[in-house]
Amino acid sequence: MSIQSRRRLLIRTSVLVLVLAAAVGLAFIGKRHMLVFDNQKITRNERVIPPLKAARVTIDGHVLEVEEDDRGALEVIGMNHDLLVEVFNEEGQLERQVTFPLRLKLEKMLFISLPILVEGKESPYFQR
Amino acid sequence: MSKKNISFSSLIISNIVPLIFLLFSIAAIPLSGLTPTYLVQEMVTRLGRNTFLVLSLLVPVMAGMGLNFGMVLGAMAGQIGLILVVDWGIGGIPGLLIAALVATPLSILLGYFCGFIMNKAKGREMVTSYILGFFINGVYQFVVLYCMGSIIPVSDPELLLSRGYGIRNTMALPGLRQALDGLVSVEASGITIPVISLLVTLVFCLLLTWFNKTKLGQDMRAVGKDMAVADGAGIPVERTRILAIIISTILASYGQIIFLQNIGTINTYSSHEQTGIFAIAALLVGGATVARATIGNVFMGVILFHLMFVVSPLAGKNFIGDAQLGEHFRVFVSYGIIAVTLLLHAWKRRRNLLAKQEGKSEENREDDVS
Repeated sequence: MSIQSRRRLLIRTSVLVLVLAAAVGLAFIGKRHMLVFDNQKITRNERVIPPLKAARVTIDGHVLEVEEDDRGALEVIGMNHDLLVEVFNEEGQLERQVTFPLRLKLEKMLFISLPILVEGKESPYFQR
Repeated sequence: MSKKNISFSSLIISNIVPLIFLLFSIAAIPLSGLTPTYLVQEMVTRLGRNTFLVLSLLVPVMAGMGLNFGMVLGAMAGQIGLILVVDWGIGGIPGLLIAALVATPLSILLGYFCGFIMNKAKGREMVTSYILGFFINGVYQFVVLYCMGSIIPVSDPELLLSRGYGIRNTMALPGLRQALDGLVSVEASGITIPVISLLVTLVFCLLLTWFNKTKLGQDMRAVGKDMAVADGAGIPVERTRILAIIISTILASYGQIIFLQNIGTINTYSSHEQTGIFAIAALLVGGATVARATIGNVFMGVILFHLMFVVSPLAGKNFIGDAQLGEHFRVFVSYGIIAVTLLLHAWKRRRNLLAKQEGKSEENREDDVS
């Protein structure tokens, strides 16, 4: 194999590797995630956490309102998001605000328990 | 005086198709009752959506291969890219880019195959590519209807037919819908301008202008003018022709991705079918011929053709009382315009040939006398 053809092969292989790496990177950046926000009673470590009276979830400009014992879903694209959860009392007044950094990978669907997230002691993710 | 008349009449004849469309549109706009703002909005949207597809036809025309009806091969590759991206759950601009990355090798393969076949059918490229489109459509249907979900893994059951394999007839493009158009859009006088889509088209126009000046571009033009002379000059004619078709097919796949992200849904088994016909009709309406097409023809054609597309159903409804007639009319016009242009091309070629032969016989007679 001549030097020229070896060089050509090297360049082509590097371009192919770069394209594949870019594709993998793009797959992470553009991955769609369905986030299901669950506001129901949940048991963790033999401890029962009650649902919130009402909550408003804001992520990437999308807003979702979740009532007590209810759940709602939002779709997001990408890996890093900041989640804002506003908790309301029975009179509909804002009780507290919680921000939560969402770091996603390649999950298609993710269940997030709002009572655990607001409590802030444990990971809010759970399996169904 | 007669010279002036001849040049004026030749100007009319050479621009007869755009003129007919312009006159038709001028007559139909008031009949349709559509507002100027609505029409401008539609034209801007359609310029962003369709221009890339039509631009993909320029390279084969440059290489003397006529109108590439085989661009549907690229459209199919683009659709396969989009189907896979939807299944993988990737959205936004990254989703479009990955669809393009998937479509590129498929387009190269299909383009190579199409170019190879066209080299076997020199002089009959258009009808060959048209029939090849039908053939590859069969392969596409086999892949999408039977292989996807059985041999090719598809994880999202919502994309599959109820029997468990094969993609559904209609598919939404979640996360991809208007991903490019909506990235940056500017509102001016009530008209939304999809800046990025138009910018992509503009950049592609500049690249095409640059490509014309490159060695490969010059080779293509030489091949398009006269294959024998190009061969004599040492240009690899067949390779150049294959490259022209590969480039066109790749660009058509990107064009189809841009087109479908604007629409927001895929008709899995039919979205690509009309792509070639409508893109070619638009190019011809813009004043292009089988042997000559420019970027100006593309823009003029997209505007005139789509103006007629928007206006004719409503004009037909208001004029005759039947919107369906307007709908049929635009399909009739699409096919009709291609037929008329091909006839004009054949007629001009025959006329030039006869003129050449007459010139030669005159020369021979002069030689005999001398």
